[in-house]
Amino acid sequence: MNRKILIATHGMLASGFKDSLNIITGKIDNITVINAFSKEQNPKKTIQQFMEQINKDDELIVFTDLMGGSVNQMLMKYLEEYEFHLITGINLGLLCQLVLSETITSKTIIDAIDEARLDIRYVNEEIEHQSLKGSQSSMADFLL
Amino acid sequence: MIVNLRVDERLIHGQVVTNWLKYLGVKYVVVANDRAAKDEIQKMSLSMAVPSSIKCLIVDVDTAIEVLGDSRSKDKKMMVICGNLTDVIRITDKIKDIEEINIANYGNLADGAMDRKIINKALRCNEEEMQYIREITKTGLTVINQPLPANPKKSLKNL
Repeated sequence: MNRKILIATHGMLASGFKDSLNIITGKIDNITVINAFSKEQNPKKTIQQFMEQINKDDELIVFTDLMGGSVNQMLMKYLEEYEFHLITGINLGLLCQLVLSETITSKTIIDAIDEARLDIRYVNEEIEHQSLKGSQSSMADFLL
Repeated sequence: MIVNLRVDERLIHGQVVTNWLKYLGVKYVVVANDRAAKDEIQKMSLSMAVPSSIKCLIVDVDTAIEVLGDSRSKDKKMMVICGNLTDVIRITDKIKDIEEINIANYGNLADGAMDRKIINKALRCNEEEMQYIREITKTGLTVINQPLPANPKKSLKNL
């Protein structure tokens, strides 16, 4: 199975995500980006060109920024014709998780999303309430 | 049992959390660093970067040696993180049950970074530090440089 990844967003966010992914994971060889409405082309054509080069045995995962955005809406139409995973509202944590996953199934994606939701944290509050995720253990607790 | 002893001058940061813990399948992390152990703010920010399913201990090197030598640590898969090479030597003097020592990220932040020789990706050393690495490889333990799981393991045996 040939994995292909598309990150499609409003503006340069897609390129930004790819850059960050390269820094953290170093695994960006199969990632294409579409920075919609950024310079010229109507993303419709760019998306069409991308989808047309997808083969039947490719494992395609598409990441977008906003459910209601036209980029995501355009890609949703292709779900009728093509088999691929479409995930929206992405954050860097989620991207890292899935890019590093050897196999990707619906379950992998759902689990990764559940974990990624927990990435958004109000640091001030956590410090104040000492309710630290991944809190430090005492030696006794650690060796339990 | 120490699956991986990582030398990273930044201790816990983006790469470590995201990649290595999952990749190694460890649930226990020991940060062995004298300075961090005394700094409450640093302890807090380091531990907050670790997922809640992982147990994280941030202690000075002597305490770390105690913990790693404890019989209860024998069957727990652990990752140890050190910030410098002398701390590694202090540990390898006493602890032998270490599968792999990964000098992953070192020499880039410390003073005199530009005077250091580039050994490999994210690893720069001056003569003194290369001597430390040679000393560590003399223990017979596997010593490599591998910044990310995606990178190949570069052996530092014949530095």
